[in-house]
Amino acid sequence: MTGYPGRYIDPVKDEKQVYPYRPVWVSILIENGILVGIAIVVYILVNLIGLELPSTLIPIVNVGLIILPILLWLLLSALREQATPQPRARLPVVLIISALATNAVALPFIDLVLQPHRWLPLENAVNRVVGYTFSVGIVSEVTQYIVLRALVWHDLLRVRTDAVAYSVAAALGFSTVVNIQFILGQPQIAPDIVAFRVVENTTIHIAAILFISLGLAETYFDRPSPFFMTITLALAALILGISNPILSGLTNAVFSVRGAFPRPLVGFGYSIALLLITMGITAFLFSAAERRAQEVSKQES
Amino acid sequence: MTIIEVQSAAATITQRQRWGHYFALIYAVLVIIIGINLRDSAVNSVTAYSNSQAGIRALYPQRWLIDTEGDYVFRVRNLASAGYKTTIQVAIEPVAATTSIRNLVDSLTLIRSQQFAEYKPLSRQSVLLAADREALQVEYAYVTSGDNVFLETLPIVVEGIDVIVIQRGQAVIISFLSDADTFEENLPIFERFLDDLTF
Repeated sequence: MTGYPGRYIDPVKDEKQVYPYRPVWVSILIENGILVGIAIVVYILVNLIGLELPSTLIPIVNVGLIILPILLWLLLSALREQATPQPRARLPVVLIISALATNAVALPFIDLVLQPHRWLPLENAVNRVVGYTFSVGIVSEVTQYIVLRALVWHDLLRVRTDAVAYSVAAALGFSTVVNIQFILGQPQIAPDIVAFRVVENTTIHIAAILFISLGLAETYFDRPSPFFMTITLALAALILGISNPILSGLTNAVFSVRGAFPRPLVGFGYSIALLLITMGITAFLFSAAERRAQEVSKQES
Repeated sequence: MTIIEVQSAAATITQRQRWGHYFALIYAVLVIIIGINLRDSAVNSVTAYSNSQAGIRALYPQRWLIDTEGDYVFRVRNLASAGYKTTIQVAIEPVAATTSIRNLVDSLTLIRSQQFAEYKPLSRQSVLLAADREALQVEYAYVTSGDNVFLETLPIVVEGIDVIVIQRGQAVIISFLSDADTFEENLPIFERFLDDLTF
């Protein structure tokens, strides 16, 4: 009898393996999921239940909705990061610098020089996509790319997903400033509109910057074509260029024989779908690149 | 507990990485230049108008709505502008041989002060149009509630300019009207219109 039916006297314990970095994809899903959930609750409260807030309370609720993405990010990403064995450094710095660059450079340049509001709303669909890509899209994305290149590139990228974590911080900084500008001129705007706008801006900017994070990670860790970073930057700008006219077309009222009805839910759904699709594509490309790198290192060893 | 070290960071920047960033920045600059060019072509695109009976040829902004049915030669309006619809209008009035531009301006001021609420002339000055033609430019402002009296909105302050030229026994009055909030932004459109206008 060669077997050993009984238990080990001193069983071998499987040593617990700890991944030293915060998993970013799950964080993005959870944060945006909560954000979407809160926006839907606000929509139901205002539109279906008929909740009417006092006019003094509306600006406070709106400000709360504007800072909600950053609060969620601080709680679920920045604080959780500190609990990991090797936290990513300077995440809040990237967010703040991105917000400052947006407010000081990107938005004034778009409003005062490119002035899309003067010429794009009346163009046909193709011209609007091209126009928004070549104005709002490229300025937004190149601003965030420069921030990431300046703050993160030299010493903060250790694994590929680091690029995603820092890019999401930059996108949140950018989208928060855009959201603040949205309510500055109209503080009494209905909270459900603000909630939907916050979700749309946040998800679309994160969706776009995921491509830039892919470009940064591949350029840093791999040997892609020198044009790879350019292609990912162009893709990110194109996502914003397509989303701007689609969102305004879906969200604004469409005239028909029965009257004019806005379709905010369709625009809301579009931005969520865009984020999920972009996350799926980039996560697949990140994981493929990671596997490829591991195979190469195995062959070399 | 074992910490998994996934990968070590790259040490120095390679030539390929450096060119990757250069290409990205060059691409961004080129695209922004193309974007500015696209904006210029869209904002400055014009449509030709000519009226051989009045002897007027003009280039007005594309997508502005032209109207020739009123007591003017023609009027173009930007229906896409928020608030007061930015307007350029060209009118011709017969005048006596002894009528001076000053008389005409005073007459216009009297008529408009009865037509428009809170009509106030702001300034008047001599200007030179194309081909060194002398004209008088009068700037003024008034308040309007728009065409729709049921629209629940504050009244709009409209700022306007009249450029008046007397020639061959008739006065040519070229008017520009804009929402006071966007007057400075829209003024270059009127200046380009004046540069291209022949009469």
